[in-house]
Amino acid sequence: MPAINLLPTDLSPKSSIAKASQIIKNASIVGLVLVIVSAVGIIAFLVITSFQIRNSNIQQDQLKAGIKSLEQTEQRLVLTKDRLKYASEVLGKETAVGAIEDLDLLFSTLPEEVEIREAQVAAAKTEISIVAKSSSGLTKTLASLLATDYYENIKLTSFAFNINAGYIVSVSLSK
Amino acid sequence: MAIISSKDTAFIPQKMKVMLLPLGLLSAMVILVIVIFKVGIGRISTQRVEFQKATKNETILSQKQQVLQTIESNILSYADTAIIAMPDKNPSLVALSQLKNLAEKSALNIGSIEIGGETKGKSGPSKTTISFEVEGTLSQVLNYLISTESFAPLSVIDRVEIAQAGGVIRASVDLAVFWAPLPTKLPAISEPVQELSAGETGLITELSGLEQPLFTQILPAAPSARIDPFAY
Repeated sequence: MPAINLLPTDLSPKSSIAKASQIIKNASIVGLVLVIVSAVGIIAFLVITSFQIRNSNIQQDQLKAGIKSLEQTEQRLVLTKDRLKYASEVLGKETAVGAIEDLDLLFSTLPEEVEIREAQVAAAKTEISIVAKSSSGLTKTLASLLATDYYENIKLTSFAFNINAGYIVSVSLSK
Repeated sequence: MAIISSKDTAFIPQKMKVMLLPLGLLSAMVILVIVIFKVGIGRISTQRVEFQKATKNETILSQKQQVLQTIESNILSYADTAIIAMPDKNPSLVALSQLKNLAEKSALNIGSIEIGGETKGKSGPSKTTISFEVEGTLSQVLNYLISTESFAPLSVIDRVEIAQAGGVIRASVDLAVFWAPLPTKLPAISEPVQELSAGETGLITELSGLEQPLFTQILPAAPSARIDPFAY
């Protein structure tokens, strides 16, 4: 028996519309599946990271307790670092000790007939007054002075001769 | 027989009604996607930041604990050495004691001792100057002055005036000593701690080589029987 369509043909949707509808329906279903998968993924990520954060917090609490028990050590470390900062600052300050060492070296080479009268020593500048009983002693002294490498400038500030004392020489040494 | 009107007067044409369900489904899904991704990605980024922060804190704390455990055995002697070299209070008397001990060892006399006023450092250490005179032979005096560098607390010779009278050398010395107040607070527990650098360890070694002041400890006397003052 032949199939008879009693419905009017203009009521049925066009084939292109029906096709588009099918495509949209399929796309929606695929999209829905993807959304569900993504949602599951997101939830899984959140759950896993929540556990990790919780574990990390527990670990942190344990570490904090451990550090608390080492509080005295931390205090000493902070104190040591603080003192060392100041100590290195002091050690970096200019001191006259370098000049004194140089003077010590200089005076150890002086001949016996040469004596020191007075000296003023500071880190940057040294003034010395010496007495040499002979001209040879004076020559040796001046040669020793010139040989010193601690000072860059050597200035003869006074030179006198006294028949009783000898040659009285004052020099100013500076860096 | 039913009469079906083919006349299309509705808002949505009859032929398009077949699209309603798929389009509705699609719209619902798009809204769902937007909501899930907006909320989900927001949560994920918050959680990631929180996780990174937790991991970072854990690393810092772990490193801090390790540093403190490593240094625990040595830090007490380091702290003692450092605080003797750079005390928290004016160390003039300790320095003076060191100067006298050193003078005794060098068979020298020191006198005319004066301790100057305190100069408070703004950010650096505070300072006071000890002025004194020392007498002896030239080499003795110079060696003595050089050796002042080798004792704790740290000091600096600012100025020396040397004069000779009758074969005796007399040196007037200005020696500066330093101190600084102790730190008052510890860093927060979650703040990282730096172990001592090679330079700092070298400095500690240098400071521990300084001659330490001698502190005498007076021990309490043992109890003894009281003497009866009326017993003859």
